[in-house]
Amino acid sequence: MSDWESKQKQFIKDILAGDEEAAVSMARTSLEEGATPVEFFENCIAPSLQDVGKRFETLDIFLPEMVTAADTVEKVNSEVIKPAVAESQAGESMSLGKVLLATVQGDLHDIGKNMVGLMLKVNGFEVVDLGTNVPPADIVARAEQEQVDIIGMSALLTTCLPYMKDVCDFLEGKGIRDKYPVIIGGAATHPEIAEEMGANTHGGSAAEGVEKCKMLLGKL
Amino acid sequence: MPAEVKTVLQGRLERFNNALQLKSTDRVLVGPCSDHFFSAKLAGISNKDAMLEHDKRYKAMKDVVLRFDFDIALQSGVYPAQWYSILGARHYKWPGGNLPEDKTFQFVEKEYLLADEYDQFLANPNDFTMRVLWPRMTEGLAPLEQLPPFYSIGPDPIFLGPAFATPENLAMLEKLKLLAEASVDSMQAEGDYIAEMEELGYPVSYGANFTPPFDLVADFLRGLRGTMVDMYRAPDKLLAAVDLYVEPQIEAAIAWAEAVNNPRIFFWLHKGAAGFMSDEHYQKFYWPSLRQVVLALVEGGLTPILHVQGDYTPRLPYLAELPRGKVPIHYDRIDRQDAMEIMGDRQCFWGGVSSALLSTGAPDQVEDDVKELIDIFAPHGGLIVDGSVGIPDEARPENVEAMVDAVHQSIGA
Repeated sequence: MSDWESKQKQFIKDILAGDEEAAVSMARTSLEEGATPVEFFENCIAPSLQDVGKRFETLDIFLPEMVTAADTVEKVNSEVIKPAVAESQAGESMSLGKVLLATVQGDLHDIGKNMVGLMLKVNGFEVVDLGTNVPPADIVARAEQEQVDIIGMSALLTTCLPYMKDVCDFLEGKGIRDKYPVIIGGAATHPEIAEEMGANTHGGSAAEGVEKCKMLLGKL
Repeated sequence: MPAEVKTVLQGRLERFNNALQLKSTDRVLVGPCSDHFFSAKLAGISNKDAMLEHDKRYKAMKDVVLRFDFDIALQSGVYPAQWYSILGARHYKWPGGNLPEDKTFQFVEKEYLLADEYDQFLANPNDFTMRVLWPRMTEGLAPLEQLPPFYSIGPDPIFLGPAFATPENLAMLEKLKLLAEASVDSMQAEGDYIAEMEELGYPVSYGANFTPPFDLVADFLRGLRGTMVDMYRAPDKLLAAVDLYVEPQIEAAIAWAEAVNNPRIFFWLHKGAAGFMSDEHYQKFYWPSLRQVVLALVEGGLTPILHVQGDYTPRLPYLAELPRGKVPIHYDRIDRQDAMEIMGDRQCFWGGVSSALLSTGAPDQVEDDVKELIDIFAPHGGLIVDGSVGIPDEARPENVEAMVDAVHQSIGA
């Protein structure tokens, strides 16, 4: 077993148990031993999170474990990786892409959206989460402001579907439709609706949403 | 009440109770547990008005029961808009308040209790609820934050006067008075509806309704994310908070059932479904407190009805532990064969027709679905056909008709 493999095994254990101290300490030690922050991210954090994501998909683990793992990694990133990257000025991007997520106007349901956000994060995406009940104009404005790579929208209530279409229409009207691939999901949606409203694709589950985002950015 | 109506009512109630208790019935029943806005929609009333004008809402509900010839009268699943608006609720959004008129009301879930406040909450839940939680959840109760703990005012109650003597507190007391008056109005309207339905021969589905202890904490205190993390970071505190609600809930449920003279108490279970947590965590965090409440109510001669939201198939063995025929289960999504095998001779099966099918399917699809339910569960008795969460707001009336027809056809078969 290579050094990275054994580290990864332990790292998975630590993040699933929510052991921030152990996970942060491993990252610090690895960097002190000569690994660059990007190396630690690519060889330990990213594969560990992918493993966590896969286990969640197969119901080997559940929401508490995935939330705790993501939370613990957030701590490692903020306390060790990000400061080290800033210091070394490596400037290398560790993100697969930036995804804007929002539950559309009129709808406050966010369990599904949050699960997608978590799954995207554990798979290496950067997520800009606008929360719930977000008007179409705000979604478009923030996409521009944040220069995201994908716009993701969720709705549980069928009465809120028109707001998703409004976003596609706004993008079209502003002449920036091609700049932002749009993915929709949530209990009120299905692939045919996505096609009808002019979205690029539909995610039927958190895992499928991640795959579709990778596909949209040509990362599959 | 005329004797013939009394006979009809008693007949319906007996059939309903027999089905709930898994005793044999002369036929399968069809009856929604509750209604949000389906009735209002059918009556051409906006969601906003349905929440504001109780008489209109209950009239619409009565019309729906009569139009579709249900076996029971549905209960309202909507709280009055006045309750939210008077308090300036931040933890809800509602049509005509801070949502458009045609939307449904929704809960704003967040961490109202922060992770590092558990000790403070557990040490004095009364004080924390009053002076921290409620001011966070509502604008109208924000002045409570400025009040000192009551005991610190001293043992002499005359000093409550000076403690409340600010314009902010006087305005708050006025709001509480308005809230109580609004509650009297809405409770009167509900009482009138129940009496009217009984005079028409229909027993109402349930009286009181509750959220189980774990969901109370996960919904109203820590939010989903906070609760999930607490299972690892603060398991003992999470459990202590959940347990805190057990005894008060038992007492409140008994009192409420007595007040409305209805032994049927509805529980809305949502965060224990498959996918939310492992079996081990369910066993540790979710089930014990719920089981304790349910058993205490059964012991008290009441009928707790568990509406299990989401896919509850993996939790069926837990439900099967409950005393036979005493705890009807209202199902959302479930593997029907598993439910039959594990629960068929344990508890009544209520619900089960998917909201999606009722909202977007065709009548013949609904009919086929109901026939399948009848084929599987009717031979054992204790089947009450209903939508998976009552009748969804967007249900097509012809699909609701098809659901009822399928049951009625089975009677003649």
